[in-house]
Amino acid sequence: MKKNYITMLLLFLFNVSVVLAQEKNVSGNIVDGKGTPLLGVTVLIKGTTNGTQTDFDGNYNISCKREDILVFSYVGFKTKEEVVTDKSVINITLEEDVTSLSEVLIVGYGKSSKVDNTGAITKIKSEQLDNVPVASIQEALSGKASGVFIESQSGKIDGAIKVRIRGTNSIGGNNEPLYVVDGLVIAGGTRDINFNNVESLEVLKDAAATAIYGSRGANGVILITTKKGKQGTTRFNVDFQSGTSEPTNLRDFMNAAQYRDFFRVAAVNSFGEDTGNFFADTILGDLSQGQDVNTDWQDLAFRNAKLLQFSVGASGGNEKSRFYTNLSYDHQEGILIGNDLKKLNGILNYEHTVSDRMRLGISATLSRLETNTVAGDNAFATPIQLVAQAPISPVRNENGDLIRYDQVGSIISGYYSALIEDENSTRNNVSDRILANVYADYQFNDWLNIRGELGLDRGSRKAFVFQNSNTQGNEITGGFGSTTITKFQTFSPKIFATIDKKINDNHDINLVLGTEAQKTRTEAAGGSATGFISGLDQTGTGAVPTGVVGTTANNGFYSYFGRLTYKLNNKYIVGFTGRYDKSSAFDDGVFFPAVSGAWKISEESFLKGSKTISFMKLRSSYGISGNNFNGFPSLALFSPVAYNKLAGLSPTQLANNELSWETTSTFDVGLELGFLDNRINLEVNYYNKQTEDLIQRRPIDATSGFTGFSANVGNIENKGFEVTLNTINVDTEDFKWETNINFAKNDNKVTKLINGQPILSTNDRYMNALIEGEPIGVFYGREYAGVDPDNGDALYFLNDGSGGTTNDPNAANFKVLGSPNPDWVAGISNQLRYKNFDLNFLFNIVQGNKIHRAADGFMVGGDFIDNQLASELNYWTPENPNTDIPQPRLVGGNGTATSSRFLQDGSYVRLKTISLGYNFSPKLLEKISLSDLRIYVTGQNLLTFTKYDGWDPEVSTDFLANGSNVFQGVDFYSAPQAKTITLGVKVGF
Amino acid sequence: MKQIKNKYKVYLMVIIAYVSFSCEDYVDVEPLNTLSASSALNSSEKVIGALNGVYNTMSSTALLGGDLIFVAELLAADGKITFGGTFNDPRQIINKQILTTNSRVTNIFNIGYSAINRANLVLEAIDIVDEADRDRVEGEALFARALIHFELIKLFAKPYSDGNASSNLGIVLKTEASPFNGGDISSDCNSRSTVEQVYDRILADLIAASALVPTSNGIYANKSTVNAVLARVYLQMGNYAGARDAANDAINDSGASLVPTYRFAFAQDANTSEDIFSIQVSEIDGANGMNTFLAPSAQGGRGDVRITDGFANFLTAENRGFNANSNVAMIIGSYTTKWYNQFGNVQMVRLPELLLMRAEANLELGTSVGATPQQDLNTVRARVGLPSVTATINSVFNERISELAFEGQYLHDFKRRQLTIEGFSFDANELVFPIPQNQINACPDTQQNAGY
Repeated sequence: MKKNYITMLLLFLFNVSVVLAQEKNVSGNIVDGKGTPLLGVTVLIKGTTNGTQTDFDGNYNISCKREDILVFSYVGFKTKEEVVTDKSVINITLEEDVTSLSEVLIVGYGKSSKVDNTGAITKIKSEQLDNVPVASIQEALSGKASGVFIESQSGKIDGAIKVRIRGTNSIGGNNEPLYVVDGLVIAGGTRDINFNNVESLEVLKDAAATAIYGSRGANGVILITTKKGKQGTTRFNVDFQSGTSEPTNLRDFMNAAQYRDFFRVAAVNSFGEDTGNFFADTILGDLSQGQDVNTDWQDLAFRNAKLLQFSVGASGGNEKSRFYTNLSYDHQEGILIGNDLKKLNGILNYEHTVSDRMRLGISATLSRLETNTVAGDNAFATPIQLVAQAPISPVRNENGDLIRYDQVGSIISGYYSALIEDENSTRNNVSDRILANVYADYQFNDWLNIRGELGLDRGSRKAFVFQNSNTQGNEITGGFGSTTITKFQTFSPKIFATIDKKINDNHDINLVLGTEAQKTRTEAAGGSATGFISGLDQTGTGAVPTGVVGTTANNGFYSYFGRLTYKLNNKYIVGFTGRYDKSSAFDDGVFFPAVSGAWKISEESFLKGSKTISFMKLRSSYGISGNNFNGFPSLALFSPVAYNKLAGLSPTQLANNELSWETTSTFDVGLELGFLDNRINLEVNYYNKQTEDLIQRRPIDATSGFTGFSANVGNIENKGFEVTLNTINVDTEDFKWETNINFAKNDNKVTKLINGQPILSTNDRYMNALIEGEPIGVFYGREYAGVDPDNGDALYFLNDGSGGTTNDPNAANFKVLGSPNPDWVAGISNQLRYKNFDLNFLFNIVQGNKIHRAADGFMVGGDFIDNQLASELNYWTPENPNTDIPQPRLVGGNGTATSSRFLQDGSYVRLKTISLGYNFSPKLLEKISLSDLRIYVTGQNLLTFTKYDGWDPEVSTDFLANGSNVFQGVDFYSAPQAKTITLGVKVGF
Repeated sequence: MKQIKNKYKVYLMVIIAYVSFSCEDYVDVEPLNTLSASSALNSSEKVIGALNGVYNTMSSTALLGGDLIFVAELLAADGKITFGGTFNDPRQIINKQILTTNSRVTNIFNIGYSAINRANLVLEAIDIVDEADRDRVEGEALFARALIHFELIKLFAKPYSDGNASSNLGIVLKTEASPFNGGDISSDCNSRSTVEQVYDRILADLIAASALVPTSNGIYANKSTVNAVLARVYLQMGNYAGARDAANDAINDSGASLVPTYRFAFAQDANTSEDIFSIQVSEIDGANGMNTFLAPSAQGGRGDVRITDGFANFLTAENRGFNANSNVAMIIGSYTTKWYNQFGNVQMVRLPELLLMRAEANLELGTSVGATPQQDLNTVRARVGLPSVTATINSVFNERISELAFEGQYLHDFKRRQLTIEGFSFDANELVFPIPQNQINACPDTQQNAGY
């Protein structure tokens, strides 16, 4: 059946021919303002359906009469007309249409135009990404696309970045969008992509746009298009950027004197004068180690981090071949000690015109990424946990050695520290990656194109850890080392045909049909060992091998896809998209359809020619896309185990014979408006996404020997609207000012769980829950009721309907306390240019989300030896009864229980990026043989306006948020974001 | 020119052919790092492997690898130890303010039943096992099933000693393996048997196992191991004759002898001469959960549990505490050296416990099966250089407290002898774990323990 389909496609494609009437031949070449040939420009004899398109070199050839008028039209350019007369060669330079509505949009397996597109797509252009001093493309995108919420987990330079397009769709599955680089769906992360090489990013948001990606489209798709070479002289450019980073914010902790007093008060409150003072004397003595110091441990977690970026590139080409190449080196130190990132990135995009019908090309990226990482936020060894150390504690003893406070103390032990870890360990990751897409494009005639691509995403990652015998847990083993090398390779061939046909003036048909497959193989090998001689840290030099890694995993799928777009009278557009996916994870394949339509109201006679409303389009779509899973979630599995150094076998997973994909149905309606010759563009979208059959662990009776199995059980809903407003406020020769505002509001709601049963945090320290009718990850816990003025007890609302309070945290009933998801997010950016100066700045606004400061329970109440927040000094005493700080009590847990006391609004407004540049005038540059010279200063996260009391409101602690969609918005010793200033220069010649 | 074009058409067709040729190959993927259930228990070797998997599960730090001892020590801290660590879960237990969401409690419950199910799978596949191994494998699986039921019922139900064993709710008794398709059991919920029903089944399994396992079985459960656990079970039930005989059989079958120096009976890489049964831990596999909490960081632990001065002095007086010779000291600083070895085996039963069980039972019955109580008591005391004292119920019990300190027996000994712990009656609700909240959520009809 499948083979027949292919055969039919082939027959159809190869047996086509075009006959054109012939009277007089006119030929010519069409270029843009920079002299680059334009492919696919429509050349039409006015008033007829006769026409042609330009080839790869911008050449066309048409038969016409001398009185004919030729109309040259091309998406993104102003249409031009030319009377034939006696001319046999008509060369045309098309002028770019600068308004955003004229933009070309890259869509899945093709191109469209902003004016004709029926889906919700946001385009980000290269100049919005260039030279932002961040380490990943997602951070550079932050705040720039409506409906795209981007959050860096913390200020760790290699920390994960959460991207949510129109909310969270999945509980147990992936919520990150699909990334496609030049048509290649990439399997690994996106850090290997240098965003300075990116020509444009298209964010596909609704089903009309994403359904063509079928089972991988539910979370939205980000299409990354890299820069390509253009015909003309070879241009070189060199970029250099250097700067420094520091934390956006520090918290106020007690100093040594305050700590001593507070600790003693807490000890006496708990144990009375005699015992309390004895405890205080002993513990304070142990912690101060006979020295009198005031150590600012928080300061020791951070450093003034350096940043350096250097790149050199060249691009150019001739009629036959065009290339773009760039090599860049990045070294970014993290603001945390021991945390840095080095990146070497090379790109080569090469295209060769074989004939006027055929092109061959390759897009290839090579990269190496090296990071030095720090321990997870929940480890004593992570730098920020240094704040738990007492300010009375010296860092080093008289011999200059770091003191291990976990080894001192006669009543209780102190904490291990990141300084020891930093000095005695290495956590180093090195990744190599090749992204390559080889393609051949064949233009059969002016309306049929076939493209074949072979994609390869291949990489390896070496994770190296070494902890010498001075680190915690390795004292008696002589150190611990581990090396694991993971290799992955994704091979993805595809082929698709594009039919682009205009049938007289009234009908435009665009049809894409294709097939694609993908196979990924991931292999890991490595081992761990203990027992190292000083000076040797390679895992193989360890004396005792303690573990071995050797695994292979395969995943694959194949697909058929198609999209038909029909435009009538340049006013009414309908689109149909479908994709069939069969994956190795599930037994059955699934078809994902979408239908969409658009009405260009401004083409109607009653609006046509209106100066006020220059563009108006109403569009809507409905469709279904899916969320793929890897592995074997539906099979019953036995895993190998070892006991007594002998092999064993244990069942580890139950089967579910009925398991299927998660599917998301999206309804979208959008209105696009252009005013005043499109100087003002407004786009409004409403969407309703219903995700069903969420794969979730269905809990079962644990006495069965299993606690659950994967089942399609839950539903989740995301509804919201987005507004994008682009305005050109001033546009004169000397001064231009543009403003872009995007706003997105998303309401997330879990609409179905198994038996309506809430799923609560199993760890009492965290409050994120899944509850029907509430947003994903909603905070559910005790409600803090302040301090009993009579005795300083922390109080909690009983929430049993009585309105009463209790000092027993266990007696307090839980209630819904707030959501970690923002009510709305917005980005406001301005681009100003005055003569040779330009100024750009972007404000990022996140509103209405709650953050749980989960580590603050350790920083209050004098519960243990941890240094305490300075705000605790306003604690309850009989003389200070009206305070919301409970009486401190050593190991009394007074007010430290997880509750709404540590939950806070995390809204913020942030000056995300600001950049001021100066472009030297061409006249001046000519004298020194340069084509471009620009110097600029860029700031990242320079200003943050928030009422949040933690380090930084852009936060989700890594050890919870990695691998969980539920545990979001928790701040647990998470590093604040980096505030960065860089100075850069760009030279072109 | 025409020729060139045709050539590229051929190329294109090759690509098309390639893509369309082998679609099924892209999705025809088998797991390589795991076995699917259909091919998991189809040979003798694999079923024996599954038995080793049962041991592996039992060796988890949630069970015999640590927590079964650790939580018993916390629950019966009784002024002997303090917990100074930052983890919430152990603190809830030592404070007797256990939340139903306590993850340590939840893990013991879940992994316990996982071990039981795995043992049941072995029992149901027993016919596939080669005849030469069949009895041994069946006996060990029955032993594992009984042992874990016994450990769970001691923590999740009222003690047998409270006199209402036939009416008190016990735990769910699982003697059949669960099917492999989750959909088949998604709405099934097992109900709790009575304490007596569970104990009866434990006894039946152990008695059957005792007849099946060999006298010598490497580090795996042998006759002595099975009888040692049987003696513990009888003791919990107050059946002193059963306990005495089982302990005596265990001693006779064990071939064990006391390690001359008390210190060296602990924290060893391999089983010692007095070990009856131990969980095997090495750098390569297994973990010693007791080391984590009871050993100081210089010994690879967190140092969260400290010995109080009072108990340290008591143990020192019993020659099992401080010692001028740090090589043989059993307490250094405020830590016991019993769990000093990060990769040491976790002992479950040692010979001295058998001697003391036999002595206690003989005293209760006025008999001298195997040896006189005085002889057994003297043997245990002589090893640590203590003079003889008259063997009484009290002196033997006192010896247990010091000899078996930090080994998880105190709680269960006090419960069976109906003694108060920290002012809590032996059958207090506070000394019984809650049924985990997750289990209540999955099976809302499950009856929660009193007090939660």
